[in-house]
Amino acid sequence: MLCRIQVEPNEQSTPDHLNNSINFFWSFKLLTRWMYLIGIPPPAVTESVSCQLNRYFRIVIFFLVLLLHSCILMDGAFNTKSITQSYVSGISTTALFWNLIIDGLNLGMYVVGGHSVLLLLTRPQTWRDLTSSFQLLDEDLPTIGIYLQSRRLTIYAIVYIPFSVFFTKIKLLA
Amino acid sequence: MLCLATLFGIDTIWNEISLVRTVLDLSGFLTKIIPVTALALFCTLARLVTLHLRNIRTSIKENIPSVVSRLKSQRLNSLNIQRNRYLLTCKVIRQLEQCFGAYLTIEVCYIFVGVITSSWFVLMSVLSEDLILGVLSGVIFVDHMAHLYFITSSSDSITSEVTLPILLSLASINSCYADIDR
Repeated sequence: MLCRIQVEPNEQSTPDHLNNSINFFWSFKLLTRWMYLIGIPPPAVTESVSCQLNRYFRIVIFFLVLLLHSCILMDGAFNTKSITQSYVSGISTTALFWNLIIDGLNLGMYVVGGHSVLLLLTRPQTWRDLTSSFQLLDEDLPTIGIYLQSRRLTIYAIVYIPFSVFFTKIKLLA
Repeated sequence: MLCLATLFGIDTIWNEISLVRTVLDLSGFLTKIIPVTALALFCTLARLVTLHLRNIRTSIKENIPSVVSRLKSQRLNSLNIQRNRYLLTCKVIRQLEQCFGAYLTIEVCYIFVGVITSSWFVLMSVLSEDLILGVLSGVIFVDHMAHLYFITSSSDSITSEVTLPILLSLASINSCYADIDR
Protein backbone atom coordinates (compact mmCIF):
# COMPACT_ATOMS: atom_id res chain seq x y z
CA MET A 1 0.00 0.00 0.00
CA LEU A 2 1.75 3.10 -1.25
CA CYS A 3 1.21 6.45 0.41
CA ARG A 4 1.36 9.78 -1.32
CA ILE A 5 4.17 11.75 0.20
CA GLN A 6 2.71 15.08 1.23
CA VAL A 7 4.88 17.89 2.47
CA GLU A 8 2.26 20.63 2.41
CA PRO A 9 -1.36 20.61 3.50
CA ASN A 10 -3.98 19.61 0.95
CA GLU A 11 -5.19 22.80 -0.71
CA GLN A 12 -8.79 21.60 -0.93
CA SER A 13 -9.25 21.19 2.79
CA THR A 14 -7.34 24.09 4.32
CA PRO A 15 -8.44 27.56 5.30
CA ASP A 16 -7.94 30.39 2.85
CA HIS A 17 -4.86 31.86 4.51
CA LEU A 18 -2.97 28.60 3.94
CA ASN A 19 -3.64 28.75 0.21
CA ASN A 20 -1.37 31.77 -0.04
CA SER A 21 1.88 30.67 -1.60
CA ILE A 22 4.15 32.18 1.03
CA ASN A 23 3.46 30.81 4.48
CA PHE A 24 4.99 28.67 7.20
CA PHE A 25 4.88 25.47 5.12
CA TRP A 26 6.48 27.16 2.14
CA SER A 27 9.38 28.45 4.23
CA PHE A 28 10.08 24.99 5.69
CA LYS A 29 9.41 22.98 2.54
CA LEU A 30 13.10 22.38 1.77
CA LEU A 31 13.84 21.21 5.30
CA THR A 32 10.85 18.85 5.39
CA ARG A 33 11.85 17.35 2.03
CA TRP A 34 15.37 16.91 3.37
CA MET A 35 13.90 15.09 6.38
CA TYR A 36 12.14 12.71 3.98
CA LEU A 37 15.48 12.00 2.33
CA ILE A 38 17.22 11.08 5.59
CA GLY A 39 14.44 8.75 6.68
CA ILE A 40 12.45 10.92 9.09
CA PRO A 41 9.37 11.95 7.12
CA PRO A 42 7.20 14.49 8.95
CA PRO A 43 3.51 13.60 8.80
CA ALA A 44 1.23 15.53 6.45
CA VAL A 45 -0.87 18.07 8.29
CA THR A 46 -4.30 17.02 7.06
CA GLU A 47 -4.03 13.25 7.22
CA SER A 48 -5.93 11.94 10.22
CA VAL A 49 -4.15 8.58 10.10
CA SER A 50 -0.40 8.40 9.53
CA CYS A 51 0.75 6.58 6.41
CA GLN A 52 1.78 2.98 7.11
CA LEU A 53 4.66 3.10 4.65
CA ASN A 54 6.08 6.20 6.33
CA ARG A 55 5.85 4.51 9.72
CA TYR A 56 7.73 1.39 8.57
CA PHE A 57 10.28 3.51 6.69
CA ARG A 58 11.06 5.48 9.85
CA ILE A 59 11.39 2.35 12.00
CA VAL A 60 13.63 0.58 9.48
CA ILE A 61 15.96 3.56 9.13
CA PHE A 62 16.16 3.95 12.92
CA PHE A 63 17.10 0.30 13.45
CA LEU A 64 19.65 0.49 10.63
CA VAL A 65 21.33 3.45 12.31
CA LEU A 66 21.20 1.72 15.71
CA LEU A 67 22.73 -1.45 14.24
CA LEU A 68 25.44 0.51 12.45
CA HIS A 69 26.59 2.34 15.55
CA SER A 70 26.44 -0.81 17.65
CA CYS A 71 28.75 -2.49 15.10
CA ILE A 72 31.10 0.49 15.15
CA LEU A 73 31.30 0.43 18.94
CA MET A 74 31.81 -3.33 19.14
CA ASP A 75 34.42 -3.26 16.39
CA GLY A 76 36.13 -0.37 18.11
CA ALA A 77 36.06 -2.04 21.52
CA PHE A 78 37.53 -5.32 20.23
CA ASN A 79 40.03 -3.83 17.78
CA THR A 80 41.04 -0.59 19.41
CA LYS A 81 44.60 -1.72 20.00
CA SER A 82 45.22 -2.31 16.30
CA ILE A 83 43.40 0.91 15.41
CA THR A 84 45.50 2.97 17.80
CA GLN A 85 48.65 1.43 16.40
CA SER A 86 47.76 2.76 12.98
CA TYR A 87 47.83 6.30 14.34
CA VAL A 88 50.83 8.45 14.78
CA SER A 89 53.53 6.23 13.32
CA GLY A 90 52.44 3.12 15.18
CA ILE A 91 52.47 4.65 18.65
CA SER A 92 49.68 3.20 20.74
CA THR A 93 48.97 4.60 24.19
CA THR A 94 46.32 3.94 26.80
CA ALA A 95 45.15 7.54 26.56
CA LEU A 96 44.66 7.22 22.80
CA PHE A 97 42.91 3.90 23.34
CA TRP A 98 40.38 5.40 25.76
CA ASN A 99 40.03 8.55 23.72
CA LEU A 100 38.95 6.52 20.70
CA ILE A 101 36.45 4.49 22.70
CA ILE A 102 34.93 7.61 24.31
CA ASP A 103 34.85 9.26 20.90
CA GLY A 104 32.95 6.36 19.39
CA LEU A 105 30.53 6.23 22.33
CA ASN A 106 29.97 9.97 22.09
CA LEU A 107 29.19 9.87 18.38
CA GLY A 108 26.96 6.82 18.77
CA MET A 109 24.93 8.37 21.57
CA TYR A 110 24.69 11.66 19.68
CA VAL A 111 23.42 10.04 16.49
CA VAL A 112 21.01 7.60 18.14
CA GLY A 113 19.78 10.22 20.63
CA GLY A 114 19.28 12.84 17.92
CA HIS A 115 17.48 10.32 15.73
CA SER A 116 15.18 9.29 18.59
CA VAL A 117 14.29 12.91 19.34
CA LEU A 118 13.48 13.61 15.69
CA LEU A 119 11.28 10.50 15.57
CA LEU A 120 9.42 11.65 18.69
CA LEU A 121 9.08 15.17 17.26
CA THR A 122 7.60 13.90 13.99
CA ARG A 123 4.88 11.81 15.63
CA PRO A 124 1.63 12.89 13.99
CA GLN A 125 0.04 14.59 17.00
CA THR A 126 3.21 16.38 18.17
CA TRP A 127 4.10 17.64 14.69
CA ARG A 128 0.56 18.82 13.99
CA ASP A 129 0.35 20.65 17.33
CA LEU A 130 3.59 22.47 16.55
CA THR A 131 2.69 23.35 12.97
CA SER A 132 -0.85 24.43 13.89
CA SER A 133 0.59 26.88 16.45
CA PHE A 134 2.78 28.40 13.74
CA GLN A 135 -0.22 28.52 11.40
CA LEU A 136 -2.17 30.49 14.02
CA LEU A 137 0.70 32.98 14.14
CA ASP A 138 0.16 33.40 10.38
CA GLU A 139 -3.15 35.11 11.05
CA ASP A 140 -3.06 38.91 11.19
CA LEU A 141 0.54 38.89 10.05
CA PRO A 142 1.12 42.28 8.35
CA THR A 143 4.07 41.15 6.22
CA ILE A 144 5.36 37.98 4.58
CA GLY A 145 8.96 39.09 5.06
CA ILE A 146 9.23 36.74 8.02
CA TYR A 147 8.73 33.70 5.82
CA LEU A 148 11.15 34.93 3.17
CA GLN A 149 13.81 35.22 5.87
CA SER A 150 12.93 31.77 7.25
CA ARG A 151 13.23 30.21 3.82
CA ARG A 152 16.61 31.81 3.34
CA LEU A 153 17.67 30.43 6.72
CA THR A 154 16.54 26.89 5.83
CA ILE A 155 18.63 27.10 2.65
CA TYR A 156 21.69 28.11 4.68
CA ALA A 157 20.95 25.31 7.16
CA ILE A 158 20.72 22.67 4.42
CA VAL A 159 23.99 23.91 2.89
CA TYR A 160 25.66 23.78 6.32
CA ILE A 161 24.52 20.21 7.15
CA PRO A 162 26.87 18.35 4.74
CA PHE A 163 29.81 20.47 5.83
CA SER A 164 29.17 19.67 9.46
CA VAL A 165 29.00 15.97 8.63
CA PHE A 166 32.39 16.08 6.94
CA PHE A 167 33.94 17.70 10.03
CA THR A 168 34.05 14.39 11.77
CA LYS A 169 36.10 11.92 13.59
CA ILE A 170 39.79 11.46 13.10
CA LYS A 171 39.36 7.72 13.46
CA LEU A 172 38.33 7.74 9.80
CA LEU A 173 41.97 8.16 8.98
CA ALA A 174 42.73 4.83 10.54
CA MET B 1 35.83 21.74 2.99
CA LEU B 2 35.30 19.45 0.02
CA CYS B 3 39.07 19.05 -0.17
CA LEU B 4 39.05 17.93 3.45
CA ALA B 5 36.32 15.42 2.69
CA THR B 6 38.30 14.13 -0.32
CA LEU B 7 41.36 13.82 1.89
CA PHE B 8 39.33 11.81 4.37
CA GLY B 9 38.03 9.51 1.67
CA ILE B 10 41.38 8.94 -0.02
CA ASP B 11 43.23 8.35 3.22
CA THR B 12 40.58 5.97 4.48
CA ILE B 13 40.66 3.93 1.29
CA TRP B 14 44.45 3.79 0.90
CA ASN B 15 45.23 2.91 4.50
CA GLU B 16 45.56 -0.78 5.13
CA ILE B 17 42.42 -1.48 7.05
CA SER B 18 39.67 -3.96 6.50
CA LEU B 19 36.86 -3.18 4.09
CA VAL B 20 34.32 -3.74 6.83
CA ARG B 21 36.01 -1.14 9.02
CA THR B 22 36.06 1.32 6.12
CA VAL B 23 32.38 0.84 5.38
CA LEU B 24 31.50 1.13 9.07
CA ASP B 25 33.44 4.34 9.52
CA LEU B 26 32.12 6.00 6.38
CA SER B 27 28.54 5.01 7.21
CA GLY B 28 29.01 6.12 10.79
CA PHE B 29 29.97 9.62 9.92
CA LEU B 30 27.20 9.92 7.33
CA THR B 31 24.59 9.17 10.02
CA LYS B 32 25.71 12.36 11.76
CA ILE B 33 23.44 14.07 9.22
CA ILE B 34 20.44 13.16 11.35
CA PRO B 35 21.24 15.04 14.58
CA VAL B 36 22.65 17.97 12.60
CA THR B 37 19.29 18.15 10.81
CA ALA B 38 17.60 18.33 14.22
CA LEU B 39 19.92 21.23 15.09
CA ALA B 40 19.05 22.97 11.83
CA LEU B 41 15.33 22.49 12.49
CA PHE B 42 15.60 23.86 16.02
CA CYS B 43 17.60 26.91 14.91
CA THR B 44 15.24 27.79 12.06
CA LEU B 45 12.12 27.40 14.24
CA ALA B 46 13.73 29.48 17.00
CA ARG B 47 14.67 32.12 14.44
CA LEU B 48 11.09 32.18 13.16
CA VAL B 49 9.82 32.74 16.71
CA THR B 50 12.35 35.57 17.11
CA LEU B 51 11.08 37.21 13.92
CA HIS B 52 7.48 36.97 15.15
CA LEU B 53 8.44 38.52 18.48
CA ARG B 54 10.26 41.32 16.69
CA ASN B 55 7.19 41.93 14.55
CA ILE B 56 5.00 42.07 17.68
CA ARG B 57 7.42 44.46 19.38
CA THR B 58 7.41 46.78 16.36
CA SER B 59 3.61 46.76 16.12
CA ILE B 60 3.22 47.55 19.82
CA LYS B 61 5.73 50.41 19.62
CA GLU B 62 3.83 51.93 16.70
CA ASN B 63 0.48 51.82 18.49
CA ILE B 64 1.36 52.55 22.10
CA PRO B 65 1.13 56.43 22.09
CA SER B 66 -2.55 56.30 21.09
CA VAL B 67 -3.22 53.81 23.89
CA VAL B 68 -1.82 56.26 26.41
CA SER B 69 -4.03 59.04 25.06
CA ARG B 70 -6.97 56.57 24.74
CA LEU B 71 -8.00 58.10 21.46
CA LYS B 72 -8.78 55.23 19.06
CA SER B 73 -10.39 51.95 19.89
CA GLN B 74 -9.17 50.59 16.57
CA ARG B 75 -5.60 50.84 17.74
CA LEU B 76 -6.56 49.30 21.04
CA ASN B 77 -7.97 46.37 19.09
CA SER B 78 -4.74 46.14 17.14
CA LEU B 79 -2.78 46.06 20.39
CA ASN B 80 -5.11 43.40 21.71
CA ILE B 81 -4.32 41.31 18.64
CA GLN B 82 -0.60 41.77 19.30
CA ARG B 83 -1.14 40.69 22.91
CA ASN B 84 -2.88 37.51 21.74
CA ARG B 85 -0.07 36.86 19.26
CA TYR B 86 2.44 37.36 22.06
CA LEU B 87 0.63 34.80 24.24
CA LEU B 88 0.51 32.39 21.30
CA THR B 89 4.24 32.91 20.70
CA CYS B 90 4.91 32.08 24.35
CA LYS B 91 2.94 28.87 23.84
CA VAL B 92 5.05 28.05 20.77
CA ILE B 93 8.23 28.60 22.78
CA ARG B 94 6.98 26.16 25.43
CA GLN B 95 6.24 23.62 22.69
CA LEU B 96 9.73 24.05 21.25
CA GLU B 97 11.17 23.52 24.71
CA GLN B 98 9.18 20.29 25.13
CA CYS B 99 10.10 19.01 21.66
CA PHE B 100 13.78 19.93 21.61
CA GLY B 101 14.74 19.92 25.30
CA ALA B 102 16.11 16.38 25.24
CA TYR B 103 17.91 16.97 21.96
CA LEU B 104 19.63 20.10 23.30
CA THR B 105 20.81 18.15 26.34
CA ILE B 106 22.30 15.48 24.07
CA GLU B 107 23.87 18.12 21.85
CA VAL B 108 25.52 19.95 24.75
CA CYS B 109 26.93 16.69 26.15
CA TYR B 110 28.20 15.79 22.67
CA ILE B 111 29.87 19.18 22.31
CA PHE B 112 31.42 18.93 25.78
CA VAL B 113 32.94 15.50 25.20
CA GLY B 114 33.87 16.30 21.60
CA VAL B 115 35.76 19.43 22.59
CA ILE B 116 37.79 17.46 25.13
CA THR B 117 38.63 14.62 22.73
CA SER B 118 39.46 16.89 19.81
CA SER B 119 41.66 19.02 22.07
CA TRP B 120 43.44 15.86 23.12
CA PHE B 121 44.02 14.92 19.48
CA VAL B 122 45.39 18.39 18.76
CA LEU B 123 47.81 18.00 21.68
CA MET B 124 48.81 14.57 20.42
CA SER B 125 49.44 15.94 16.95
CA VAL B 126 51.69 18.63 18.38
CA LEU B 127 53.67 16.07 20.39
CA SER B 128 54.03 13.70 17.45
CA GLU B 129 54.45 16.48 14.84
CA ASP B 130 51.56 15.19 12.77
CA LEU B 131 50.18 18.18 10.89
CA ILE B 132 47.21 16.44 9.25
CA LEU B 133 45.92 15.09 12.55
CA GLY B 134 46.27 18.53 14.12
CA VAL B 135 44.51 20.36 11.31
CA LEU B 136 41.61 17.91 11.15
CA SER B 137 41.21 17.87 14.92
CA GLY B 138 41.24 21.66 14.90
CA VAL B 139 38.52 21.72 12.27
CA ILE B 140 36.41 19.33 14.38
CA PHE B 141 36.94 21.59 17.39
CA VAL B 142 35.72 24.58 15.36
CA ASP B 143 32.67 22.60 14.25
CA HIS B 144 31.76 21.86 17.88
CA MET B 145 32.11 25.55 18.70
CA ALA B 146 29.88 26.42 15.75
CA HIS B 147 27.18 24.06 17.06
CA LEU B 148 27.41 25.66 20.50
CA TYR B 149 27.17 29.12 18.97
CA PHE B 150 24.04 28.20 16.98
CA ILE B 151 22.28 26.85 20.07
CA THR B 152 23.16 29.75 22.34
CA SER B 153 22.47 32.46 19.77
CA SER B 154 19.03 31.00 18.94
CA SER B 155 18.01 31.00 22.59
CA ASP B 156 19.54 34.39 23.28
CA SER B 157 17.80 36.02 20.32
CA ILE B 158 14.39 34.97 21.68
CA THR B 159 15.04 36.36 25.14
CA SER B 160 16.47 39.59 23.74
CA GLU B 161 13.23 40.23 21.81
CA VAL B 162 11.12 39.98 24.95
CA THR B 163 12.21 43.24 26.52
CA LEU B 164 10.84 44.89 29.64
CA PRO B 165 9.17 47.83 27.80
CA ILE B 166 7.12 45.35 25.75
CA LEU B 167 5.97 43.55 28.88
CA LEU B 168 5.04 46.89 30.47
CA SER B 169 3.19 47.89 27.30
CA LEU B 170 1.18 44.68 27.37
CA ALA B 171 0.33 45.34 31.04
CA SER B 172 -0.79 48.88 30.19
CA ILE B 173 -3.08 47.50 27.46
CA ASN B 174 -4.85 45.43 30.11
CA SER B 175 -5.25 48.46 32.38
CA CYS B 176 -6.61 50.59 29.48
CA TYR B 177 -9.20 47.95 28.74
CA ALA B 178 -10.14 47.83 32.42
CA ASP B 179 -10.64 51.64 32.44
CA ILE B 180 -12.75 51.52 29.27
CA ASP B 181 -14.96 48.83 30.78
CA ARG B 182 -15.53 51.02 33.86
